[in-house]
Amino acid sequence: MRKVARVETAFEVFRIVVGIILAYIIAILITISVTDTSLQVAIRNFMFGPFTSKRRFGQLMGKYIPYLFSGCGMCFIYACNRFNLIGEGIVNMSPIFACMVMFGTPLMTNLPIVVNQIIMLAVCGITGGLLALVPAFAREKLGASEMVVSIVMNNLLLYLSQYFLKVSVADRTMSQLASPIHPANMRFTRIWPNTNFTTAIFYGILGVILASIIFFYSREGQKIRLVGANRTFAECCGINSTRSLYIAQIIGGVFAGWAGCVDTFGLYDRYLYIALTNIGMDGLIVAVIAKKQPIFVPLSAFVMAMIRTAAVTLNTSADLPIEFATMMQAILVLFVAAENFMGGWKNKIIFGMTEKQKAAEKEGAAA
Amino acid sequence: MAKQLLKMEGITKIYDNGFMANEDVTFEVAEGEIHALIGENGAGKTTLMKMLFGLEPVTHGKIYIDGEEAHISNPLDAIAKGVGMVHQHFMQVPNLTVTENIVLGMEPGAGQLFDTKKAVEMVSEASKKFNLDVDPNALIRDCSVGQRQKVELLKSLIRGVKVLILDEPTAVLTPQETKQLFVQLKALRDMGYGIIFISHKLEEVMELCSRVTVLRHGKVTGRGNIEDLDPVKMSNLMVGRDVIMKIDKEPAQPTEPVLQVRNLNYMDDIGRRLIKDLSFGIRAGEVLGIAGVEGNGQGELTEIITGLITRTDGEIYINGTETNGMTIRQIRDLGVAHISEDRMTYGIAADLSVRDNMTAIYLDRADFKHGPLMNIKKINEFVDQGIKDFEIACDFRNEPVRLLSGGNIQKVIVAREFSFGANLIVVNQPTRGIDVGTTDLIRRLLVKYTRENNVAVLLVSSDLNEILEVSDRLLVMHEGRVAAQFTDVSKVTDMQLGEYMLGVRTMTAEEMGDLQ
Repeated sequence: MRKVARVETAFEVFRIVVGIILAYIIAILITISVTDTSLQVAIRNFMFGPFTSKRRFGQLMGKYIPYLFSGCGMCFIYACNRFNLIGEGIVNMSPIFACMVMFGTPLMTNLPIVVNQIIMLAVCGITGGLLALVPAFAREKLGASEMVVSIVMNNLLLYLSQYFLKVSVADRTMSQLASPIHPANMRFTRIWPNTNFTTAIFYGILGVILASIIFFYSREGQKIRLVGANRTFAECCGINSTRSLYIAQIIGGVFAGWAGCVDTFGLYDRYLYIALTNIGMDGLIVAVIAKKQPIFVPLSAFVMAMIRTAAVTLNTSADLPIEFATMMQAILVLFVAAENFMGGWKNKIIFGMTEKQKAAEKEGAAA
Repeated sequence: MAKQLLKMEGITKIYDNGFMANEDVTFEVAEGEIHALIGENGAGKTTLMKMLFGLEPVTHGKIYIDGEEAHISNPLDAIAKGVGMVHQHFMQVPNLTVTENIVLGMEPGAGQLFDTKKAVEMVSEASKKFNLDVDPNALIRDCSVGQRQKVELLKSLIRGVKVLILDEPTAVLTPQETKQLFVQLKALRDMGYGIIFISHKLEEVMELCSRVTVLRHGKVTGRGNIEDLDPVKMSNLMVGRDVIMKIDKEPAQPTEPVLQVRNLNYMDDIGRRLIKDLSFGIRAGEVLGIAGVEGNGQGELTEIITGLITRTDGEIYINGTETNGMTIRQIRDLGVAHISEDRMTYGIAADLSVRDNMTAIYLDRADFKHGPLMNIKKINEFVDQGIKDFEIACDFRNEPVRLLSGGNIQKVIVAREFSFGANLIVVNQPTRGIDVGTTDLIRRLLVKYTRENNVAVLLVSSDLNEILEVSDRLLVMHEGRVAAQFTDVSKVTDMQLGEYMLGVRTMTAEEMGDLQ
């Protein structure tokens, strides 16, 4: 039935492509119907806007890099059927601890930039992993829904991060709550000056490679996939499913911590978050589009980043609110997650193939 | 000629994975007849009936009820059009009473109120009318299997169906209960109902039915009146060769004890004692069969031995080690392989590949790992060898298991469980619902492993043919206890087994002899 497997894969890809195209068409139609923008301008801005200047492409990359991390992290959580959305809060919280090390201790002052970047990633990753344990513990040990706990915790972490910043390393000379300016050796430097395209991209690429290796080639990753696919079966095989569920959620937390790290220390000069960033939630969408497989995250993260950037472009060129991007994401996810979208067509092809095969068998037998 | 109640014409069913379960099947049922639909497990009988009952959509073909074309989209629709089904696994709520189960969805009473008295009256009346004796106020969980089947029949009849589908109704019954069921079915036939009797037990078909339709590999291979057929003809139509598979085996030469169970007790979470003071043992080099009507503690016994559920008390030694408090993993490490009766839940992860499924128990084995990573090269070699040795019909090792047929899925499980050098193999219904080739392969392997590798096998099966063919020693379980032991399985008859399975007779300790 190799052919059936092929048809299934082809339809998976096709469904995503059709989903993207439909989302774009709907978005463009709405744009031209509610604004004064002409069809031509809308298409140009929406589809090619992010590629029209270096600055805009940099803006796209600025969104893309954190998505690489948060998307990979959510692949692990989603692959074991847990909807731990703590990534959102982790993005806000984990850089605070890195700021504390940065400004509160002399540790990083004279270290080379690469070492400092690794320290920042380590602090953010560890914080993320530990924070992700809370909803995981609530679920696996206490039976409380990890989704509810994590959503509640996201708000808690937002305000807690503000509080920690205020009592620790906040820059008192600023009129708003912010950290001091990140020193030149404690940030991800810009590859193109005056754009958001930073050296964090290299860590992003390494992150995707690492996630893919863990997911497909490590024993723990294999156990996570088995537990997610059929927990009862995994337990019958002697796999400690609770342990795997914890590990998956910790990995998800670590990656979300890294997403927060590259965003804070790449895009901004100071820690400036005063609201949730949506990077964690978008990570879930990236994982859904990537079909829970880290190897496809670079593609799905790019689609997401493009939608977000296109929305910003439209926002500046036409009078369309930036929230418009959220609607596009919803349309996209709807088509990607709806497994029966074009299911009838797929079945028709599979049925046709089977009938053809049977007919050929009969002919062969007759001959 | 009797009026035609139902006609299924040119029915073809192809599943989403491309598997053709039925091909151009035509099937009729007339008023006042019991029509047998026979075929091996996996021949497409159940699929055909699922389409008739609205559980599966029809790919091609037409269904006529009372001469009119009917489009059946769901079971409610089927019942409204006069088709009822008694499933092999009863669709009942154990914590509700017989009456509540029967009237579920059509409760009498004004507005939102439930008129219990009227419901009981309805059930009593129906029970009298159809001669199906049930206690309307008993809880389903307290009813015997035979009683529950009557409840299932009443559920359909009270809704006014004219065609009744019975999916292997005797699989869960004792011979005595089967006889009673037949009397009731004949009475329903005489009232004008059309009954579809799905079975692969030919002697039952000969006794009960007037017409037969035979399916093989999803196609009709024969149909006719029962007078024109005999079991040999029917079996030829079913499998194209002799149905009973003989396994030539040398006498077992059991050596040291591998499994010892002493005074085992198990009580489930609603307080039923399913295993009572059970003691027995298995030695290396023998197949111990456990026969019994399903639900007499055999399933729980295999789950306790393999660590899936926890015993209430008693001792279990595997290769001399007491397993109390051990995890599934630790028990597996003692050398236990397990093939569960529900392979889709306990045996595989359907969406993962053949490779992932075959290696699920080997992830921590020294030769399959490179530190925290898997040794992909070794794993691929192992999987390819397994696919070859066990003749698994798949196109490539990364094909999702759900795209394979039932028999090949079971081969994937067997390949995994039989390849790690276990010396105790616990199997529960290993050949249920799979093709004859795989059935034969699995049975032969079980015998081969005991003879060549000195393995001990615990075989639980409701297929008497299987249990009598494969076992070297046979225990019969009834109500959680051993009711009989046969050391010479070749001399056991079906009737004898039936009496012990039902609990009509129980051997004394002296008659049973040494159970270890």
